[in-house]
Amino acid sequence: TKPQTTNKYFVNDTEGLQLKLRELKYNTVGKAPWIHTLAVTSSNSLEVSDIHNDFEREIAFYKQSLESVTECERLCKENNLSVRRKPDFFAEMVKSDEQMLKIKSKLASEKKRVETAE
Amino acid sequence: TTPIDTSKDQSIYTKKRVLFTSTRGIGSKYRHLMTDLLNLIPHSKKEDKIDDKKTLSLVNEICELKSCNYAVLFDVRKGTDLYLWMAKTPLGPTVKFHVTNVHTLDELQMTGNCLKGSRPFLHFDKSFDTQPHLQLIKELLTQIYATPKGHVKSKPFFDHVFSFYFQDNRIWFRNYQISDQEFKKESLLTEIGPRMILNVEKIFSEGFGGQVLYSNPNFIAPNKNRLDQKLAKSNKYIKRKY
Repeated sequence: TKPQTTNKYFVNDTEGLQLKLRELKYNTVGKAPWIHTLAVTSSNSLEVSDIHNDFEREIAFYKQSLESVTECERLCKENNLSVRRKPDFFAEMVKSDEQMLKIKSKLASEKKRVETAE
Repeated sequence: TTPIDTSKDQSIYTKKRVLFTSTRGIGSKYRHLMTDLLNLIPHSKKEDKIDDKKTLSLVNEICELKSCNYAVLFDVRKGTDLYLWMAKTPLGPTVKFHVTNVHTLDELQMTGNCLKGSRPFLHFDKSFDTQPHLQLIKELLTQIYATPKGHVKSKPFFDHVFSFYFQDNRIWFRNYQISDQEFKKESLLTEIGPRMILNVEKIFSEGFGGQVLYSNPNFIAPNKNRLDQKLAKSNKYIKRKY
């Protein structure tokens, strides 16, 4: 169905928004130097012709992120931040080993299924 | 307002804390999403569920009690519709998002993994700079998601990137792992999850209240959406007849 605009009253208070943005930047940690935020904005805006095409969309997302990651790594070097973790540094991961094992076995079984089908 | 002199004292950055809380009836899926975000954001703090949905301004006081300066509230209606409130408390602004297409970490399709407590890179689509409300959202997202250097619970490595894209009038969230260069020549990205799509509904000037600064003209409430779909399906016979 096509989106219907209701007769509600819409607000877009540009001045208020800009004022709030300034306030947010100056009163708080907003003006933090890059080493505290690690935020990067892409140089080109994203263009996906069909947002519902999963493959095309994810590729576009991936490419844009990759560009930013290389930019981040360059900035890290500039600011003397070590990027990579030492190979002997072990720490807790976000996903547990059990879950990673499950994911791997699922992938393996999927692969096997495809092979047998062929 | 005068800018704070931060050339010597960096503790203002490292003392950042984000309060995560939810209303009652959040349901398992969105609870998992919340724990995923809590796991991924080292400077987060979990708080008990809020009983009273009608006075959300209470969150401001909870933040003050727990010495948090940001709040993320998961507000679930009817057990299905997730509204995500992100706020700088108590001064504001507050952004109210409607969240759709949620995929949590527990779902088994994403092969990436990252360290608990490593600091994320943040990636933003250029489109965020085009409109005032998006600029404000970008600033708020940066402040909430960025882990400051030297934060107590953080680890000084970078192995994942939080990406925010603006497409189709919605904000798409992705989280990628950055693979080690020792194993691969270029750094490669593998998706970790979670995934979600944020649709801005409103922006308020203060923490969980105040004046409405922006309301999205393209936003259709999920109730209305459901009703429309139902109506489109119904009356098949009458439509065919006439």
